[in-house]
Amino acid sequence: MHALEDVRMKILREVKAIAKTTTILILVAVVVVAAVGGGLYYSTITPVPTVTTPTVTTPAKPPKPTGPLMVYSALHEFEIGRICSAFTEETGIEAKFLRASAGELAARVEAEGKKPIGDVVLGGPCLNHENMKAKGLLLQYKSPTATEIDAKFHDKDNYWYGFYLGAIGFCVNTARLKTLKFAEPKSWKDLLNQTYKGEIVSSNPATSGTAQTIFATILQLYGWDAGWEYLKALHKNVHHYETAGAAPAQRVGAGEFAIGLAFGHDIQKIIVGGYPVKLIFPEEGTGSEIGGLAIIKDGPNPAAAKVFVDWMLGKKAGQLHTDISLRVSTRKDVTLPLGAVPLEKIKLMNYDYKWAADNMSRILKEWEKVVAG
Amino acid sequence: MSLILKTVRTYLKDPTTTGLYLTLFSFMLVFFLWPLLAMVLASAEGPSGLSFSYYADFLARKLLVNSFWNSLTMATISTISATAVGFLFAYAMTRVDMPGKRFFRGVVILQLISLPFTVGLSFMMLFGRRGLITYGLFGRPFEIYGWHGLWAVQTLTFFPLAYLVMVGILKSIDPALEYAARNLGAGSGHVFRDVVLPLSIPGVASAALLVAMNVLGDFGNPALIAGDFSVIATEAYMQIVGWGDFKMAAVLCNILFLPVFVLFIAQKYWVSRKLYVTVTGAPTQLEIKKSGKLVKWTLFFFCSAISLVIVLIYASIGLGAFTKTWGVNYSFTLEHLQYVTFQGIPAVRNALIFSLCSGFVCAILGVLDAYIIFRKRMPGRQILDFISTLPAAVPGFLLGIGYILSFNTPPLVLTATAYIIILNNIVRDLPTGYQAGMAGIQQVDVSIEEASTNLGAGTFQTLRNVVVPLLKSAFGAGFIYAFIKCMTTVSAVIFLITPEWNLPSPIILGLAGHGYWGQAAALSAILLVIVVSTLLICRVVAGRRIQLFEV
Repeated sequence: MHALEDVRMKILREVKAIAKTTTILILVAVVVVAAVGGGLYYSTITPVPTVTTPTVTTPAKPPKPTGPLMVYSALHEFEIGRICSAFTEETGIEAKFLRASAGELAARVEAEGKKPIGDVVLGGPCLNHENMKAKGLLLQYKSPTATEIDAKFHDKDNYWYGFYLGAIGFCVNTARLKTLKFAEPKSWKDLLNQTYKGEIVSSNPATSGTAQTIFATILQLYGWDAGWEYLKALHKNVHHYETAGAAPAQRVGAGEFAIGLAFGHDIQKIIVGGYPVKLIFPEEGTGSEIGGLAIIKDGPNPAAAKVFVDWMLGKKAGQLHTDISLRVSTRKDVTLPLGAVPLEKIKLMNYDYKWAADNMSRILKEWEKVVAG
Repeated sequence: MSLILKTVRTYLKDPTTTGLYLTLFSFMLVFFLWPLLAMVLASAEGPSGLSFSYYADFLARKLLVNSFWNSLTMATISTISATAVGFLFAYAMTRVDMPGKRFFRGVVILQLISLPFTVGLSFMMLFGRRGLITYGLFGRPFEIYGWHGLWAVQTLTFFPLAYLVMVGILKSIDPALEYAARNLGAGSGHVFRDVVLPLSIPGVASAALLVAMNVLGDFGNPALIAGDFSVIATEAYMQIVGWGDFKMAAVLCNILFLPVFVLFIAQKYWVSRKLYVTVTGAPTQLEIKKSGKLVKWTLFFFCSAISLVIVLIYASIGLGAFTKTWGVNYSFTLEHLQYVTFQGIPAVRNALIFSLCSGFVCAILGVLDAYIIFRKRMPGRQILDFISTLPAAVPGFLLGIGYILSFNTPPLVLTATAYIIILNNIVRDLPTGYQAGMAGIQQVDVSIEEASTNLGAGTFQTLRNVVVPLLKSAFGAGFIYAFIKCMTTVSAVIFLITPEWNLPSPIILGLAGHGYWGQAAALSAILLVIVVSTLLICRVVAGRRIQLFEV
């Protein structure tokens, strides 16, 4: 009898233990699933304003778009900040931004793929917008404000719009040149002078729109083979390549280097800041960029993005942008502030941005070989 | 078959432990092993199934191969110098009665808790082309950019790690051995050569391996000061950010991970086994013999020199925050502070929230982890131990990229959320929490828990009533360590931030990279003040109960 009791007790204990185990495991599983599920649910909520598609024949007016708007921009951080604040003030739509160089932004938009985080790409040479258009990453949108700007600055198919222009120039620190007793460079050819070894700063074409424009300029000016000969020779004089295109101008302004390659408007900022630098445009002619603005396809807030594009291409935004950045606007009715150089005064070559867009990955691969030595 | 049944029965008998076990394992599986696997898969993915075409592509691109060799070179030379400096420092602090030890200790701790790229940033400001010292003081052109600048920066950044390890080792060498040697007639040099040095070699090796792993994973310093000397960390970043080529970035990371993994295995299973403990729990009554005057003052001079450089570094950060344009215009200004307070506040707020969360979870998981592995003889605990310490070896950027690759598509979509950053932090800092837990567990005598079990308490009750109260200080230490590391981390999170969830360290790196040194210094200063205050508050509140940085 006792033996049976013992066995029964033993079985009861085992069953109790197993029941206890199962309960605890179930509880743990429930907690984990709840936490993870809750987290997933929370993270997949994106504040997308719904534009109601009308089911009645009379089209209903869509509700006013609300924020937030996510701006990806290659402009300077303080410039984007000012632009976004002005936009929010005027439209009430909250705007957040991420600053990265043009090439970085293009890579980011591509990497985000079908789930973009950004709504618009503001600035950077249009060759990047061309490439994004070719990869199907942009939203086609016909902006009513765009008609106020000459059509030659826009994409024919309404995927991107040009809102500023810029030309590549040399940023030259006159004080440093004097100390080093170097002559001022006046042409692309002058830069190859061996005296400038280690004194030139440029930017990295993998990330910077400025650098992409420089490279495309040289290769179009001299042709592919002679152009690479030039770039290889120039590489010997370049101290290093910055990630951001405007950085060479800043370094030259600080007096660290004698010559920097950058867009004229970025160099102008340094001059206006009071630093001993001079802006020189090369004699042979220089390349120019059209600064692009586009809406990212399948972005979180396309309604607000359209409002932004319409606003950015308008006169008020254009004047604000030119005032703070010294960039030349594509709008004829925007006045250039003191310090900005009108493009008519510069010897521009016939820069083909489409060629630049089509050949940029080829250029990057070739350049990597040059830098590797 | 019976072994499996026995294993299953062992698990079922202790549901709390099994539950914890499963939770920890599944957590690490999903949030650590899965991203690692994703990295391997991404690099081996060809147009049709598995292929090593990307690896072949890597070998064909000279720039990338160079960056690999550069990484290894830097790891070698920086490790040698950092370990040497750390050893001398440790020896001076433990075996020489030189003055000013509290100051030196403070300097080392300051270096330990600060941003990993503070030295790089300040070197650009002090020794750059317009550097305060090289240009302002000497007026001589000096080239800091390049591998030699990186070498100096990495030595100064990582020697405190070596110091921490070796202080522990040197302290544990029983002076009785040295006394015995002297009794037998050996002079000081002979004692050092034949007693101290051999006993400390495993510690030196351990420290060296730790430094090497950190140097290989260093991203901030090379990004700032290496110039055109590319290393894997910066090249992987460039592949993603400039070329959008995640696969090649994965290839680079995986190739770098091989030597790191070898170092990790060597450190864990070979060197640490050889650590000679000559001290049992009882404190020794013998005092360390005083060293000769020459040794004492040489080491004092050496430590002072290093400390002076470090003080200069932090002084320049503080100064840079308030000067208008470093290198050109040294007038006082508050504009950097204003700009940074305006733009950087959301990021700092994010960092605080994330670090508090991650620190908390890390500490809990670490303590539980240590408890299960050391107290419960559950099968498979060696695997859990291995997985819990491996994250320390994985370069930060590898895990960051892995997270983007694995959590961008269903079933678990976490990119562009705060969770991805928090989880990444937890996983990366788990070894820290685990080690704090281990240290705590080893101080709690087993017999206390045995007494609890004897009285009939199950695992859960023992945990709740005995272990957790006793391990509160281990938990506290783990939390503080993890919190500090999360506040200052950059290598992994630079890939995970979005405009919505930005963090201060990547912002500082971006500012410094563009030459906005004033603002970079201002934000760095703010971050440092927060971290140091946290440490001080903890010191005041917890006092001696939480042992931090046992230096």
